[in-house]
Amino acid sequence: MLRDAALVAGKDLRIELRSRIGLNQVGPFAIAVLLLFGLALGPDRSVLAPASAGLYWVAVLLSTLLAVQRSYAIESADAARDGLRLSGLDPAGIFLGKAGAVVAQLLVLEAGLTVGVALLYGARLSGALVLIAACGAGSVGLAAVGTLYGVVASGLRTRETLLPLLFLPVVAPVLLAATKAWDEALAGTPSHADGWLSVLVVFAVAYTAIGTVAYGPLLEDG
Amino acid sequence: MSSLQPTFRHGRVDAALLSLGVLALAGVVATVWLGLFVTPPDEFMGNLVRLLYVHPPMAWVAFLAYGVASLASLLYLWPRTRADHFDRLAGASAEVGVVFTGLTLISGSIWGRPTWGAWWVWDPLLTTTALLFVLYLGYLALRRVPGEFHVRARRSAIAALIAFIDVPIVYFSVEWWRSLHQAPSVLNPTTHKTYVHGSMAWTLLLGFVSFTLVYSWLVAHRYRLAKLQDLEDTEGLETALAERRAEAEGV
Amino acid sequence: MNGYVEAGYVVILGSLGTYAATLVGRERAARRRVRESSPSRPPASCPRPSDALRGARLRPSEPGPTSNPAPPGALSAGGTSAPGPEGTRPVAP
Repeated sequence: MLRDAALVAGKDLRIELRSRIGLNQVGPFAIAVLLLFGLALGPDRSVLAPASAGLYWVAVLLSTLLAVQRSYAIESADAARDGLRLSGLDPAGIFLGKAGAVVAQLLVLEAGLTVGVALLYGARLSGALVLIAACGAGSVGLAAVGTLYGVVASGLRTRETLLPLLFLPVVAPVLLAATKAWDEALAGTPSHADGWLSVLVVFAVAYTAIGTVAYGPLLEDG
Repeated sequence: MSSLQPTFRHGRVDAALLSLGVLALAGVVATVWLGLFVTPPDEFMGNLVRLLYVHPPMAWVAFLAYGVASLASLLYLWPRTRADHFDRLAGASAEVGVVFTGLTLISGSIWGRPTWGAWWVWDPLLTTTALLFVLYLGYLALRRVPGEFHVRARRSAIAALIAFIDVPIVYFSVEWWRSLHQAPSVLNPTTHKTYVHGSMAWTLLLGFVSFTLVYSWLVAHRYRLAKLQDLEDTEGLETALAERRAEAEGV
Repeated sequence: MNGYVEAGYVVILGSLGTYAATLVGRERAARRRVRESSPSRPPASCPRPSDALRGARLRPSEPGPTSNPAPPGALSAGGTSAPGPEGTRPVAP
């Protein structure tokens, strides 16, 4: 299973490296979101800085949607999805691979967004360990749910509108917990973030587990 | 397909449903009468307490419906208990559930406005209910995507379980989030002290029972509708198949 | 204050009543459509819909004495759906 996961993740990431869609489209999208928030909430940094964590994670959530949609868009060309199904690869491995590739892309994106938030909103970065831990656990949870719903929606004609509708409510706890963890870190009290980090970890573990089990049947149904 | 025959045999099922409906209606009427006229105003919140005879039952049914839909989805996915009727039950319960969830939010909001001065507060229960509402809508949207019955059923059942696991996580996260700020809440000690007077407690109980009956009646009809729609689809398909065969032979 | 209470009751009862009415209406309409599309089926004895297909399969000359029509289960897709008590629908994806 893990070997299959590595194969699929490698394939997805190699496609990304060659096409650079993540770099050229998802990244700028995330920056655009940060800018739009800035415009919406006013130039006053005293409003933006405290809200940095929340705005950051909303940008991450929306970018995850794009990353997941991209993850499945590459399968729809040349009936790659059927190829994936018939390849004999362990579906759990395919799930872990695709989700893993999304996690990798998200981590890179988050690094960029962190700089953006510090720059645009004047957020004072502190509690680096907590920030990184939240990004790690949060990304895994987001990628797991996204990959799971992504395969459900990918075979359908209404996928562009269905995926956000399915995905966003379910990952609300990630948004909540990650924002609070970041809030604590940015406020200089990273130790208070422990509970929120455990919520993120529980979420990530739960949905990764569900994904490995449920992916097989969902992949067949496409 | 013997299970579809009762759709044509009206008799007992119809009569049972009718009795259920009458009972439910009677219960609701009694609750409204008691709630609006017989019970006394509360010493803290005056006449507003009357909304607390209907709002909690709405919330109860919303979560009951969600529980039923999740359980039915699980039973559908479990190979040993897999059966079409569980998928139909899940869909029926979800549709009725979304109605009650919406009503929970609206009645909660109406109660909240004079009580807390705001149409909405980020109370853990209300926030979880709002999220449940959106989860329901997503599930129903997924069900509406056309497809072969079993494919759609399996897909929907898995989506239901993904959402099901989320609700407790959401509830505890929001509750924790909120406990960091002391702020108004639906389930606080003051609310519990409210149902002191005997008739109030009974009216509330009647409310819970009556609206549960209403839920059951609505789900039963929604289930029958689903069965009829499936029958329609199947027959349409068979007519088409029979026609094709007739064509093939005629040629 | 009373305005809120009445509004609440009206909204709840009105919505539930409307939903119930539309539900019953939809059900009646569906029942009518099902009856109309199968006029040859008297309500009292509903033959199994799969019979229509069996009959159709038997009409062309069967190759041999083994003219047992395949059970509905064989017509359904793969092994993903167990033939539960409802019977499986003879639908091939």
